[in-house]
Amino acid sequence: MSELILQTHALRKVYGTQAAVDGIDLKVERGAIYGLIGKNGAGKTTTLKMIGGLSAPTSGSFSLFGKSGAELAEVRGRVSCLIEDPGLFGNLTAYENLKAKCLCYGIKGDDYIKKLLELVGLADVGKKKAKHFSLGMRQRLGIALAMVGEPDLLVLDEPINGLDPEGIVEIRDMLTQISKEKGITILISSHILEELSKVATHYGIMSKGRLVEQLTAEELSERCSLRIEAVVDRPELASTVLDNLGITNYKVVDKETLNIMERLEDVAYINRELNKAGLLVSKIAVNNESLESFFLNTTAD
Amino acid sequence: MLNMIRMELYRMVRMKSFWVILIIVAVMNVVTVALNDVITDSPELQQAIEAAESEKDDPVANIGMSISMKRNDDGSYGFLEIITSAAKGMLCALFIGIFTVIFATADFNSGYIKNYGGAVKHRYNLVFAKAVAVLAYTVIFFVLFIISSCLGVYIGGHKIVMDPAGKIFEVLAVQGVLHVVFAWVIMALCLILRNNLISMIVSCCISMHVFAALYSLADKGLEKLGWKNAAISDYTVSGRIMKYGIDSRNILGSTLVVALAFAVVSALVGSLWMTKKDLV
Repeated sequence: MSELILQTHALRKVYGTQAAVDGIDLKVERGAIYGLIGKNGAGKTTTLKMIGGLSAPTSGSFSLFGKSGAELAEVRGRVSCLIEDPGLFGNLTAYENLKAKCLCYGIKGDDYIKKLLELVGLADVGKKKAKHFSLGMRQRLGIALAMVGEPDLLVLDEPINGLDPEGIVEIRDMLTQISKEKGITILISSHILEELSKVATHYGIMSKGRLVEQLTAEELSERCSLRIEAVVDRPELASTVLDNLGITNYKVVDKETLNIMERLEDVAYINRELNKAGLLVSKIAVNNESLESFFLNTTAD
Repeated sequence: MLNMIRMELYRMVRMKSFWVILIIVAVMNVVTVALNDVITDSPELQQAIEAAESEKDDPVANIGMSISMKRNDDGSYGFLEIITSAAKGMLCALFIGIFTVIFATADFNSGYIKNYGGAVKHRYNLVFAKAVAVLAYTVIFFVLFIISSCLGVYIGGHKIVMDPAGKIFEVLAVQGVLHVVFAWVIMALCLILRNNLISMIVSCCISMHVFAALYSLADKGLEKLGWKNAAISDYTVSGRIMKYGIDSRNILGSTLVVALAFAVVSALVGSLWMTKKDLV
């Protein structure tokens, strides 16, 4: 396993009597685009606020780049975030907004700001004030602000919220580009799994303040792809039958379920061979689960 | 820390309110100083002054702003009188307070604090950086105030009597310190409340002597408890701003102690609050 950039231990945040985040254990590897998904009010923003240093956990802890507790202060500067709406001074231009943060980080030079503006596609906005920006432009400027200081971990809270389809594609492409070109680890939240699935390499699914599942993009794709789902009495014997049929892409899911990811058109033939081997097949069918239904099932009450 | 101060100063000079307030104050000061003779000689104002003088002992009647630039018997003005009359009348504190509220709450209201607040090593640096910017603003404000007063004197053709240089320095320095501390108190209040409306109301109420009624009430209560001639306002920064003038050498030490106490408390409370509370 590659180096863990972020690891949380029973992280909890309580507002009044309500636990917004209830003991989550999150693991984010270096270079990953980690998608934190959950319905509204699942605790995503609160989790990101804590990781971004804007809010303190009520209990639990987390480590960033291997540092935790008092040592966290040393690595805080390597994390940058865009939480909820982009925080911009409306009366300043994109350049001036970036300049203010650059000054705070001790970064000098107009070229640095110009490159950032180019990266997010705002090089031509000139002296237009941020208050006159469209939502997409604001989001892009917010990402540019988060990029100041070359962070190693970028924390983005619903950056595609409210954007039109074109804007969503732009932001998505930008994030992929940033991750690939700069090697930045990205922790991104959304309540739209479909959109996250186009960029994320890892997923954490949150519901009611809890992390209900963590999985890689491959695992998610496996869970949501077309497959033959067979319920048999002896899966180990079924494995032998499948091996004899030359089927290699299959998985024993539990004590009675097998998922076969190839030769989907041969479902009747496979059924007959399983029966022939003396197996009791109580169900066999070609199934798939959409990302949406996977998400809904995972986060169901 | 130094970088954070640079950022605060950068955003301060790029705020519209920074320039608007300075321009308003400068123009207003030039006009009022230049036309002081005309204004004070008007029968309506004379009547108002007399009425105010007769009600001076009533604390409730003293609510509001009162600025008077006294002329010497020969019709001349003392230089310090011109410079400090508005300061003692809390006019400078009013404008400095307004700007401080707008400035200190701007990054919270806009959400800009989210861009850098989480990345700072020590959150108290956020408070100190703002405090330095507010100090810079107060210095700029005072310099402009002095320049505009001089311009008003020149335009109005007033006869000026210069005060001793040491006295000018002393009064300006003490008033400057008191106004900086006043701004810090307002800044700490803004950081705690994070609400510019309430902070603005409190700041204006202090400047407009609205709390004088409360102080008076507290004084009476303290007198009943055995504290003779209690005067709470003597232990406030605003009270000292109103009091400290050309003949206040005898209260220099206690004024500086009051200023120091408020500065320390503001810094401590502001820093502690920023460290302990969530930024957003």
